[in-house]
Amino acid sequence: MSSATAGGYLSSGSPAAARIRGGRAALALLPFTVLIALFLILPTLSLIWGSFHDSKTGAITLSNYSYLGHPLDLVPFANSLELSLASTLLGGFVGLAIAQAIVSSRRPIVQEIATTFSSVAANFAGVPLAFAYIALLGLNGLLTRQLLNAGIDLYGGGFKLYSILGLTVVYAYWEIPLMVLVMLPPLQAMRPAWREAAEILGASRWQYLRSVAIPILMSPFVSSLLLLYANAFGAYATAYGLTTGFVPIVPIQISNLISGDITFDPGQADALAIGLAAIMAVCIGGRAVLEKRSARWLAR
Amino acid sequence: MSRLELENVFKQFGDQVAVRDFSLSVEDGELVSFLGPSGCGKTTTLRMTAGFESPDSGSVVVDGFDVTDLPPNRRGMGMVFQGYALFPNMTAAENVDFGLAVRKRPAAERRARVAELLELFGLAHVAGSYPHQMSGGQQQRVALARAVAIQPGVLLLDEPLSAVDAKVREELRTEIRRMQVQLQITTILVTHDQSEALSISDRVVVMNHGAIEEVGTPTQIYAEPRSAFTAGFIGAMNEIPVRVISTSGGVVERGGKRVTAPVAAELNDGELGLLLVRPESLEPLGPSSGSLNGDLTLTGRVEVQTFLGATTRLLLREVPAAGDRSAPPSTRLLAVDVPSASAGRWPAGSQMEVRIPVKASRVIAGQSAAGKPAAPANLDA
Repeated sequence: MSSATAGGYLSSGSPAAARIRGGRAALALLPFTVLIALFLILPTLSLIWGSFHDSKTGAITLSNYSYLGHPLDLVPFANSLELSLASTLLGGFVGLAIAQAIVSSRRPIVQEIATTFSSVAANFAGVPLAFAYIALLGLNGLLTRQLLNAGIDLYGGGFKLYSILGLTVVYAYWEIPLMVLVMLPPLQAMRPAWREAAEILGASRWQYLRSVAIPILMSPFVSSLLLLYANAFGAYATAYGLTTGFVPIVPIQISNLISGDITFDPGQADALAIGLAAIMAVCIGGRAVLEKRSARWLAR
Repeated sequence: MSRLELENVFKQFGDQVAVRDFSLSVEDGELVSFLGPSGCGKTTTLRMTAGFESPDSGSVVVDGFDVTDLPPNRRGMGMVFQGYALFPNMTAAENVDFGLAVRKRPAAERRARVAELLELFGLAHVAGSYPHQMSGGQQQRVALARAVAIQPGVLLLDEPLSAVDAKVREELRTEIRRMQVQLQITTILVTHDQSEALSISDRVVVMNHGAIEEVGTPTQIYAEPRSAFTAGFIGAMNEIPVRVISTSGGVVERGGKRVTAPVAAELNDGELGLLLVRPESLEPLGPSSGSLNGDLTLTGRVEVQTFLGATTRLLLREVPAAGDRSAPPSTRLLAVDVPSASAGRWPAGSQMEVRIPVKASRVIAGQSAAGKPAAPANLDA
């Protein structure tokens, strides 16, 4: 049955019109689909393929995953987990405190400045950040010397910039503002009327925090920590710029296995990358679940 | 002794006076509405009563005890917030239970009380639902149940029906009144909806610019407003200029005719006053109309017809009587409500003569009320 009108136009509810709309929508999504295919799906498939093949003979093998059974080969994972956890906790709690202070200020100009600064700082990473920290907290860094003049010997106290501890401090530079950025919206969505409702029902401030505020904010907080964790776990350029590859963390180990002369083993690099991707997927999946819950609770 | 007394409460934000010299006694079991336009200070007064704002001067007294300096959690009041403020992480039952839980009531008592209230408010079937899973009406009922669960001395309702649609609003306001009467809770309702205030209140406090304009029963406020503001704010009201001839005898003149009417004490002989008359009180005159019996008449040309259901509102432009120098014609359109069945007799452009029932009206001093057009402003009045 024809759905064309007398004027030659299709009625908007007709199946033919719906097909055209669907076709246009698919066409609009084409660039995105190509992008995802080229830069996510194909590389992932390539990683999976490479991780199950011997890079020299091309034979199918599980030997690339042998690191899972050798404690020594798991050191990069242990270091990455430790570094990510430390920088996540540092960035998470300091960032939360700053975000809460910004929201409590109730001044739009403060929130605007803080958001702008955080957006810039959260994206300032890699070699420039590494050099900035070397200039500041390196063995002869500006702050190191100033503190030494004031009687505080950082390096004498055990601190090393080119270590997991040093990397934690450097990672915090973008983790804190990232936490500020992601926690501002949920904190701003907390309704003052909830506190007032709890108060007039007889609750103390602590009872309100324990029963209402903390449970509501827990989902976005944990979700933000997962984002910070994934962010730290996958970071490469800053760590490489700072340590020139001498601190074994997963991204640097992958790099060494791809570009190293002695340690060249792309198959094992692929297997390590699969491990890294699995951890990232858990973080992102967990975050998606938590985001859904917090969106329901904090919807205006 | 009154259950709640507000004594000369004053509150200022910066240079802006929010509430001035507000004094009111609310009796036990009474439902009193604060009614007024946005920014008139009604919510600020409610928040000072709750303890969320501190008055700059004056006091809040509950059952004879001055609670002005007590925090909200020690005032023993319940409150329903605009938008309900239900805790989104708790089910309906947990929300209702919250006040009892923080008071550390025995578990068995809490369970029984929550079940009783969920039943009372028709919420038993959504006891385990979260706020985002409930309709606006259900959320509102949960908010009410939560507020009364702690058996508050005073229940404060801050525009509780503003977030629900018109039909649900009508059902819920009846339910609020039913619950309030059943539980005998002294209640303050803040609203800008006059039909809400008039329909469920024992008394209405009309507020304007931070002060009490008038306090009275809904009937008094509607039928005998004492100020031009109240007259203009509550329902639709025509204001017809008349010349006061004698305040003591209540004699006013218009169109060369002198009649007796209730005249406000503040008017002086010879001054112009405003005769207030509701649209439904104006009676179209026809060939079969009886004698005027000491009432005034007015002639106008129909400009607009507005269908309101059972009645139709006609907006008239007054046609001044020739040679009348006693009072100027009304500058505003006059509203006349007629049965819709007969509204066709007065199409736009036609002329209409109406009787003004003077004895049922009231003459007050002052300018036209609040700049509010009489007729089209409030269709449900």
